[in-house]
Amino acid sequence: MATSRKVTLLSSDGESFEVEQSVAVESITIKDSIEEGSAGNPIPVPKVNSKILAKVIEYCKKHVESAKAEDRVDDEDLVAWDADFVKVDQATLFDLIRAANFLNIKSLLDLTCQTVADMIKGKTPEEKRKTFTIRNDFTPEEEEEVRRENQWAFE
Amino acid sequence: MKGAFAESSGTSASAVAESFAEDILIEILLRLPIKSLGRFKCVCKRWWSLISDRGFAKSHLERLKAGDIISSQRIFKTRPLETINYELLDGGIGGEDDRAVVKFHEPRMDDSSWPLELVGSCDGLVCLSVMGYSGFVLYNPTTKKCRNLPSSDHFRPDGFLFGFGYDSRSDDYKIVQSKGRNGFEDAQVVIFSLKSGSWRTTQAKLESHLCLYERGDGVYWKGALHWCGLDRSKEKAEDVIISFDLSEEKLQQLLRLPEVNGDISFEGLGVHGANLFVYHGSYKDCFQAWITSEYGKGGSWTKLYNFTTEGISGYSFWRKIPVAYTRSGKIVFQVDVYRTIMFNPEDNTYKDYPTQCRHDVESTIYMETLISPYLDYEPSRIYSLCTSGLGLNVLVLSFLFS
Repeated sequence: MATSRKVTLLSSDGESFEVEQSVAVESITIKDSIEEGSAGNPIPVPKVNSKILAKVIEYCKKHVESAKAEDRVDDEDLVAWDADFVKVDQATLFDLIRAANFLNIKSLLDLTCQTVADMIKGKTPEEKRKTFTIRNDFTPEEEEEVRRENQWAFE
Repeated sequence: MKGAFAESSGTSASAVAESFAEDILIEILLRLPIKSLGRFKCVCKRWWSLISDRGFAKSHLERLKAGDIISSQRIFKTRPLETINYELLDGGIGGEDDRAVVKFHEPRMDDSSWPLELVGSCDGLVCLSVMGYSGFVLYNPTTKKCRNLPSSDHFRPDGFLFGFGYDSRSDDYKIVQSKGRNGFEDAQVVIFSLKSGSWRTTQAKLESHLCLYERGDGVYWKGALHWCGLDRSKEKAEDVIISFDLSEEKLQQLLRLPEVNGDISFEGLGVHGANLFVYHGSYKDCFQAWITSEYGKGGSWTKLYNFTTEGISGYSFWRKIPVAYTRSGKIVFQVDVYRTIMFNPEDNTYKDYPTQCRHDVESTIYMETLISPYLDYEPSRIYSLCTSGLGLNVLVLSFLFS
């Protein structure tokens, strides 16, 4: 019965999204406000615009469906779907992280943070150095010291 | 330049640094490999401060333990000091063998004149005693942070039992020394607390019918140090496990050993992943081992290994000590105190690690962590520069890093 109940989410830029409650409560933030009875109707989602909210809903729907499926979706298939889901531009990815954090959707936060971590973890020290010289607030003396102390990471 | 971080291609570390609130930034940083974290300390002061924080190191450690532990484990051996990335030998990629062993030169830990003996390993910190018990060394082989510790006043050249581990109740690392020749029979135990930086004495009585099977360092597991021992209260001496709880600072006998038939005596303990590991067959052509994941009397043992080791060349009475286990099920043995080998129980073959040996080698596994032997503070000039800039009220200790 709970699964057929629908709720309406209102993005920060005024767009409404009707979703099943089971999908909406993937967000602990939304789940808590529903349970406390403090959620309005529609439920406002500040800080998350319609473009991002649509993506978040798409993610939650997929994950709720695959958990329920009679013939369970292969873990591998879900992992592949997730990998495709995060193939977006950097700005969108960063917005997804903030939304997942605000809405408290752990699996989405894990996925997006891991994606960013994988992007920045780095290849050669030379490439790292090139990136770090930008907006580096260490003085040359400080930078030399900090490099020396962390030489182990460059070997 | 095929950089993933050339400005044109998008995500650069500094872009990430600027875009996020601290809690999200930490979520991202916690997922980075440890060498990346070391490199990212050099990005800017904010990241330096975040990554140097002890809370961050602890969160990072928790994630390692909750995930794939094997990928962050290495072997640390003495005489001479070397670290071994043991998984590199398992995979058959040519040319990896030499990279598996890293000799390191650490002038503050020169062990040619004063041999260093292993005491224990916990959370990425390796504890060593300086021969002659003139002190201890606490070392993180990953970050190369090294700290010398004083010895206790209770000096005795033989019969010391040691152990090193973490006490979660007081959030402290402790070194434990027993004065007794064969164990804890005179009940005097001295404990070094890393937080306080000093030794103190306490009483820990071992009941007279119990004794330790062999003098040696306790294996740290789940907040306690463990030894194999004997219970001589019955007609036939029974193998038992004796534990020293680091929070309670008491000796207990909580764990039973596996039920076995036949002529099996348990020779040693170790750690396998997150489990306690007990084995038999060091001196024979067969090797058997069991693991348990639970504490307390309800814990049950699972037989993990039962294979022949005839394939290992040399005399069969040379002692084989299991040190580490690869993902594919091979076992790293230290053989006859000189050699370190990777043994494949499926086909009875083995490979030698290109390690060096001066004389009796000791080995232990350790995890690659950011945990500092100094706990909260870092003897670093950068520390005072960065933290004063951020307005933190700390006692500034600026040691020159020589």
